[in-house]
Amino acid sequence: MRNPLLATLGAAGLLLGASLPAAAANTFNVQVTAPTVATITVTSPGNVICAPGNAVTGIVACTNTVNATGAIRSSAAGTASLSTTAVAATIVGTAGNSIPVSAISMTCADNGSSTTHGAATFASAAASTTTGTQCASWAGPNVFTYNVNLTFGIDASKVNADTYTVSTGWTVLASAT
Amino acid sequence: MRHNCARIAGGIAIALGSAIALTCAPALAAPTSLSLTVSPLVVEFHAGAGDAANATVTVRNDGPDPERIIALRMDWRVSADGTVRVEQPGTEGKASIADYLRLEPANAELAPGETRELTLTLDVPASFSKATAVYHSGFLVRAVPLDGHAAFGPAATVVAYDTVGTPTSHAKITQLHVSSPGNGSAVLSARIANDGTAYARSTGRIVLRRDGQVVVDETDSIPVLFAGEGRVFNKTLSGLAPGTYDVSFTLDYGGPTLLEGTTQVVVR
Repeated sequence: MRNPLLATLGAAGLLLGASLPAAAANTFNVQVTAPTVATITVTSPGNVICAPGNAVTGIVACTNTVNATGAIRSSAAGTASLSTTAVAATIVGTAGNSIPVSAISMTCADNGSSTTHGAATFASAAASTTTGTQCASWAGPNVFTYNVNLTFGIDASKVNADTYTVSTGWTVLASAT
Repeated sequence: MRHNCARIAGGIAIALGSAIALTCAPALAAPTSLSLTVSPLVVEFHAGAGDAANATVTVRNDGPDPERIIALRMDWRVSADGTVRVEQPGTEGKASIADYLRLEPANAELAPGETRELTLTLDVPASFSKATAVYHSGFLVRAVPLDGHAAFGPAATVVAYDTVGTPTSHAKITQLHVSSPGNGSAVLSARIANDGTAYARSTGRIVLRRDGQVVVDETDSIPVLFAGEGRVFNKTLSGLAPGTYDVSFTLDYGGPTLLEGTTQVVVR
């Protein structure tokens, strides 16, 4: 198994205290073991309601916002990503109609994210998929602390008249490779 | 209920997030907050045919309510934008080790604040390929409420690599192009290829000089590139003054040498 990030920090000329041996008073080493890790907290208002009404074309905004916060530490020289995945490829209505999950688009708006390496970019109106739709990306291999608001829209042209409910829908997915 | 719906035919309501019975005007489900911490996200094995190896994966419930952790075996691939694409186990064919990976327990309840250690085990059968290569699969670890119903929830991937033999690292830059679409910006495109037998975790350093002075010096990580794969790395640079710039793109693929490509761009 590959070791997690291992950093050796060296410094000279620091006063460590009279009780230490003379040699140690001049140099010391600190080993920092920092594994790859992700924390993901998803707060949902309960329902996100998409109601195209009489619209038959265009993207209609859904109600409510889902918030995701947390942090990701990727591997050395590695990349990490924050994405969403839909659990099912289609949403089935009570009358048997179905909507491809790609008809639901997602926007990730920054709500106070910070990164130690460059600016992050956030997805705008990206189609949902079961394999992963990028929500946020950032340049560096370091820690990304994120706070994003997810809003949704639906392509009215892909919705047949029906009533649809999804009870197990989307995951906010943190990954590092 | 369906009669009520029929009255509003054409007024379609799609409710994302309700675990309740279908309604025309969906009742509000309770707000939920689920939290999950997973570590490590990357596990590297060196197990050949007939070998076994294991690692510990720690999960923690940082949310206010009990939750269930579900681990699903997966294959995966990284898209050009760095997003991990979750795939069905076996999708990666001969590169997949999904059949030989276990994460146990694969289903566990966690109380608020509880931490649990899961065991990730790789059992490579004796019949497995002895070809020098890096194989990969992993797990999708989800947190759901105890009743299983939440429209939105957290998840993380645990990707596992298995290196068999001693793969060689090598990559190359096959194309480098920088253009300026105007407004003081420049777009760099570098086509890179992994022509080794190991995977490559690369970084790309971009340096722009104008009249000998460095005006841009940025380093980006490049999503993992498996043996035989190619990718186009794109980077947009903005806020540049009009003029001619010398551009240097240096690829560090983790091997013994750095690769550098140079060109010029006239920024408008």
